[in-house]
Amino acid sequence: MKKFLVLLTVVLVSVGIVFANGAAEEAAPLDPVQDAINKAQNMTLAELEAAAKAEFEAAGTTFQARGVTSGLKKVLAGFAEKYPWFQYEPFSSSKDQALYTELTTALGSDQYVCDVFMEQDGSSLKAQMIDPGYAYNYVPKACEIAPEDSNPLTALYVNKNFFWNITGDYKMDYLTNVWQLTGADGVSAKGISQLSFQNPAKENVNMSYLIMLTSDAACEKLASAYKSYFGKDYEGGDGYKNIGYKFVTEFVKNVSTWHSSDTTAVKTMTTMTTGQVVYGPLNKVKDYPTTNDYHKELAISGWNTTIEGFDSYFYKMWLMIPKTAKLPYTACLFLEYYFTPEGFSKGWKTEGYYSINPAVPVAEGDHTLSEWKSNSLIEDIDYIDSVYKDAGTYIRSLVTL
Amino acid sequence: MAVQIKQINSRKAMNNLRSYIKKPANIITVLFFVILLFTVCLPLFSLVRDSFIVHPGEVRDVGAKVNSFTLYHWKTLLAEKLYDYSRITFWKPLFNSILMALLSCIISVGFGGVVAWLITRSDIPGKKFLSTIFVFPYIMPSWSIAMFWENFFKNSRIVACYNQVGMLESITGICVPEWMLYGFFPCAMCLGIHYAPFAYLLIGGILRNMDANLEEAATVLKASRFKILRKVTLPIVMPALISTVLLVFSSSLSSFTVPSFLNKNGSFATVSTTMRSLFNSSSMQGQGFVIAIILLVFSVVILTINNSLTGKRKSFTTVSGKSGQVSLVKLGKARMPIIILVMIIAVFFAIVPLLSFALESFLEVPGDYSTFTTYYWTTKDTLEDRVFGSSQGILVNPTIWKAMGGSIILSLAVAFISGTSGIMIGYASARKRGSRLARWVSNMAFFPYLIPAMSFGAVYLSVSYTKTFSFLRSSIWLLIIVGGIKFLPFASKSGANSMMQLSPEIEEAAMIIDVPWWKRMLKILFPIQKASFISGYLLPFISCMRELSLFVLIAAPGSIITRVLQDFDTNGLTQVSNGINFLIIVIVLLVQFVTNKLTGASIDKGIGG
Repeated sequence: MKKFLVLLTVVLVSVGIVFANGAAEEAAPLDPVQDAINKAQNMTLAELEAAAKAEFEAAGTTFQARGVTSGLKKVLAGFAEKYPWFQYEPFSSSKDQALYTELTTALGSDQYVCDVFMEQDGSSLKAQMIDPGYAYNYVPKACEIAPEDSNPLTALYVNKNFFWNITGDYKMDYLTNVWQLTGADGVSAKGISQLSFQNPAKENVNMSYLIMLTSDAACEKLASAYKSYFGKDYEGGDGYKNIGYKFVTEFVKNVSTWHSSDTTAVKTMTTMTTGQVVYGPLNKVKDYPTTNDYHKELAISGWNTTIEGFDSYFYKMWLMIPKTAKLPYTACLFLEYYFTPEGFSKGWKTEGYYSINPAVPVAEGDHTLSEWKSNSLIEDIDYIDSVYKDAGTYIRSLVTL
Repeated sequence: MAVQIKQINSRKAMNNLRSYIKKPANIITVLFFVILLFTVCLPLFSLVRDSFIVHPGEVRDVGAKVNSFTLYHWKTLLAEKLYDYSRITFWKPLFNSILMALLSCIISVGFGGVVAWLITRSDIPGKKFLSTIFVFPYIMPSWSIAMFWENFFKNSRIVACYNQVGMLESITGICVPEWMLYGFFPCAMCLGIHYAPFAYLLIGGILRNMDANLEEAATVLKASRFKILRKVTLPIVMPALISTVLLVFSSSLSSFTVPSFLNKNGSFATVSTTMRSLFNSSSMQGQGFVIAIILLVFSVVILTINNSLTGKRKSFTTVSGKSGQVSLVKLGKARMPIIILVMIIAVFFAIVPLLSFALESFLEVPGDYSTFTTYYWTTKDTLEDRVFGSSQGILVNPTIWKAMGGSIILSLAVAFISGTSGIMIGYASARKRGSRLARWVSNMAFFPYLIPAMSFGAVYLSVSYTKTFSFLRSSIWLLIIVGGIKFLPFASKSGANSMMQLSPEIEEAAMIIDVPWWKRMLKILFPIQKASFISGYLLPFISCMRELSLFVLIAAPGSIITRVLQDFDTNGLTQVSNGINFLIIVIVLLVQFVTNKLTGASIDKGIGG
């Protein structure tokens, strides 16, 4: 056994080193896909439709999409209705990191994996897809797209808010300032010690939320709310890099429940009548038990009540075309369809999903994206990327992984 | 002259080769050496490599090109002082894991050992029933026990469980403290209970086969019961005891689901939960691979100790060496209280978790028993059109039943491959005892057990993305290959145990009259050890049916039931996912029951009983 292990170790380590060095050459990007996207970018919709149809019929294959949200399944179905020649592989949503693993594995070997993909977590997207040159961007002409949403192309805005049950002793005015979430008592309100949050080490979107709290924009909001809550300015000098780090530290230390699923946490809110505050996506109200009415039972920051500091955190999902796509014109046409009111509303109709196309209506009773943005934090890939190593390490040192 | 010597030498070599390949054990050894070299060493190599290279998401932090060599992951994980990173991320979780594994050893050996003794050495009633249900917690996934633990002990005084009332509080009004619900203690308890059947099977196997004359001789010499236990019984079961401790320790150390589930208050990080969260981060995957290697080294050291401590014993058990009549210890007045206590504990952890799964599938609101409904089982409505395929109620849902069929076929195929390979490897190991190559094959067959399931799947995902093997991508064949290799350790252990018990003379008689090898296997060896061999097929079947991590990256949507379960769970239909879970466990138990009735095989015979 000992000899065997020694031999195996020697073989594995030496082969590993040789292989690691030998594999250091990166494959050049495949030009045909990039070329097709560039050409599609300059085509009219009619020209793109013709090019996509011709490409699809010549390829004799079916279209494949990958994504982290199952709404994409319905958009694909809508696209197939509109273009009868279009056929696609059945869609099933994946977890974000599992999808990144699949994409990087395939694209790292220059193999086909799909024609379009939809991912979340900007830090991973940049590090795993954009920087290695594994995915290309296409900007649809279906609507006017703001520069911050065009590259990479924002497919969807999703917001995470603070929820609490108002059927018991705790009413709308229970949470009025974000600093209550640190557990500290303020001048006009008391700290909240029942906070449920999904572990950022397991939910990358929550990691990006905590990192964004350290940004200048967040610090400004936090400082203003701090003054209002504690009746004085934040002066620093307490060892934190900025007020954002202070908030993150105290917020994380105040978490009483590290829930493992936002869906289950929101569903369970029907019975949380003793003051628990859950941080989760607004869109999870669709999973609220049908026997109950979330309109009457829940307070949701920014939706039916507002809190000082910020009401919600917006993260994004992005749509990109992998460098090995077999049907790039069809992928571009699909993106054109996706951003139309018809395409988007096939996939998402409930609260908590927002298109970058202002012509797409929001769910009844919900606010528009621009209304939401005024009191929200928004994911910024570049900021997260620039501080990820330091801020990420700091946050990981605060939580139990 | 030189030419003649050369000719003689080559003739000699040819003769040696001819005589070598004439023995089936040699061909099997060489064949499996080659197969395992590729299928087992590939993931091992990949694991080591991944801890020394820069992954796409790590370029920014490491400051080097993708796939280039780096020691960054090792240095950062083991010695990064910024924000106390290494201590918090690695050393403290490692310490926690070791403590948890030690306590779970004590619980499993204590509980399993006592029940093994009661069943084999005492006059306790209801042995057959107790023996049957006692192995349930081992058949069930460990997280189902954790889930049940939480449902039972949560109470209105604990904030981390949202102050929800659990079964214990609603029945008795008792509220346990938070440390009993989340963290170190419940994790060790759940793992201890999950592995107690393992201790029972290993220790019970020895006690059952132990020569009772030794104990009787001590009785004749007027030794007290305690002295007999201390001086005779314990030394005899010591190898099984050590073996159990080491294997439970190793399994608990790397257990992920239980500590992940019972850590809602964030008080208890273990090395395996840390590993999973590092894998989940785009920029820290390399560190995840470092932990995987460290866990693997732990397991290898433990197994080496186990082999060296128990190695002497395993070669000498033969089918003819049954022990004499065992005189059972009379428990007297304690008989009924003991059986009641043991039955309550066994039923509590074996049957009740199963029922709680079923119950949750009938509740509109999780945990609220006033919202009972059969809707999620029977409705033909579309429950959620975002899930893959149909989302009708469980009983009428074609996607669920097709995937269930897919899982059963996959599990049967995996069981066939690993079970048959296990028998072959066992045969080769037994017939070529002492051969280095046979020992290597036997060791290599055990390695898949030590590689984390998700990274094992990830390696084969990348294989399926090579041009040569692209035909395997998303196919059932890839799942069969991966499952067949990953579950080989159970089968090879079972095969080796069975073959070691058979004396070569049994086969030699047939060899003299030129009976071909395959016929000897089918007509002589298999019938004698039928129950043990079939048990070697059962273990991979059971494990494969409930497996998700291994297949999550490589299974096509809707192809196997655990992926469908995950899809429903992700989309908020926990009633359906609980119901599917219940069905999986029932099917596994049914297969085990029917196999046992038809052939006498059971998992206890596979593990070591």
